[in-house]
Amino acid sequence: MSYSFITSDMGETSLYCSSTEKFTPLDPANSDYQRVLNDIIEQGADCFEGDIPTDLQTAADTKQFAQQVSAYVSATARIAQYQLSVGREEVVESLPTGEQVYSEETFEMEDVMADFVTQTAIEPLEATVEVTVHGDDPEAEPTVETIPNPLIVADDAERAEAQAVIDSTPTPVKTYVEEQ
Amino acid sequence: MTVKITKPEINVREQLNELKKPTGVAGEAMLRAETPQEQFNLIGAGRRNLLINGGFDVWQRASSNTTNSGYRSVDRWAFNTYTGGAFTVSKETDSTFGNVLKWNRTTADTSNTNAGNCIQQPIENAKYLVKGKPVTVSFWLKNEKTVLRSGFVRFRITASPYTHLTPAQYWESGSNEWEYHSFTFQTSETVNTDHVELQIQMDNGSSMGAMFIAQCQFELGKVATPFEHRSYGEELALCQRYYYKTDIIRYLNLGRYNNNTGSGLAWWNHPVYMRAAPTMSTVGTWNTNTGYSGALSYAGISKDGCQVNSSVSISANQMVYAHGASIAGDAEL
Repeated sequence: MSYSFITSDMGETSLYCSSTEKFTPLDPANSDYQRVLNDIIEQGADCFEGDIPTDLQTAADTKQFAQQVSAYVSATARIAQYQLSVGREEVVESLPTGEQVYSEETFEMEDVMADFVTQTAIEPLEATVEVTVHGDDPEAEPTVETIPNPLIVADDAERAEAQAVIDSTPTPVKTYVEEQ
Repeated sequence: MTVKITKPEINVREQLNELKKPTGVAGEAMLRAETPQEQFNLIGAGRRNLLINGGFDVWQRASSNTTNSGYRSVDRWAFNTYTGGAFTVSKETDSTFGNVLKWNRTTADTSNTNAGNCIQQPIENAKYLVKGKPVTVSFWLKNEKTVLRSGFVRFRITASPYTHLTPAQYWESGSNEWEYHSFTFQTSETVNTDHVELQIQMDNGSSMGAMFIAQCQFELGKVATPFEHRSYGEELALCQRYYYKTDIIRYLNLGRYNNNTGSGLAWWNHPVYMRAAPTMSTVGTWNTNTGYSGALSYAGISKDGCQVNSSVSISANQMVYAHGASIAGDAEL
């Protein structure tokens, strides 16, 4: 796509796309305007003839920041899930039961505490699984093969993808999310 | 004094039988309703179809298309195919329903993505209307082939990551006859976009040949009611809120006030107030002869109109005609 910012001799403006020969208003509700912002985010000045107007660049930057915040939040939530190959340990916490008793030592009402399981333990999945493989020969006996557990493979891949998003997120985005 | 009163005998069984009214299940449900709102919902009164052009009557862009993505022909319905395969879409006239949509697979899809090959319609600002509520989709479907075909019906949000608001439900069709399908969904309480999108997959297999769809309706509630017919004029106006294309323009005057020379100017009014300021384009080619405008450019675009500028420069107090092409405005979701 190649865009240019046009101004009529009465001062009215629009964005012209030379490959589609369409004129797009600067209206955030317009789907094509959102595509222009996406192209500026992905291609930068390469998609524009002349300088990108300041307002348009600001709108693209704001959209990119929001996209990065959303991706970072999703990625951190994904990483926070337990790893299927590792499982997770039981967590027991001492919490108030809601009852109170009078303490003769402090002369105040005090919470009655009890141990609660706040996170149940989950065993790690088996690292490998056995699958029966049928060859091309219909009369041949099927063979049993041991392969990496597909659930673990998928989990690790998703975690790696999420970690890559976190690693590539700019510091101002991380700071913004942490301050929320 | 003693007064003796005589009463006629009463047959209790006969009296009870007389209370049996000739009401069916729907009638009983109506009687059991406790509020007028409940009765309203039971009979599906009022405007019911949340889809626009569910009868496939309006085709402003073209009466057929071979490109398999985006809005191409029938108004308000977009097409979706991910990888592999190809299909054509066209307007057909059926002896039962009138206008119907024909979806014809021309290249087998071997990718088994199980997600493409959809017709889909985004529904504006439906978030608060549908979230957490039962909704029902109904349509008529005909399979040109006798081979069994199937596809899903589901709702999703309209922006990436296109989260599904309902689990998919599946239609099946194996005969060359019109079959009525209806699906009731309970939508998710969590809807992250203002708009929701209905997707109807036309075939999740790889069979070649055509599917026909007619009278598509999406309504609130658990009951599929009869298709709501709207007049062509009403349906066209609803479609034009999102997209319009004029017929060939004969003479649109673009002039210049008694000041300096420059483009001929005119103010163009859209046929209806549009959803958003639309993307403007020319369909066809403007006349470039002497006295005519040449190519037009559009600026200052708003929901109700825009400025039109000729590419030809004219002197003060002169005018040119824009002639021979159509003007289109696109404000689709």
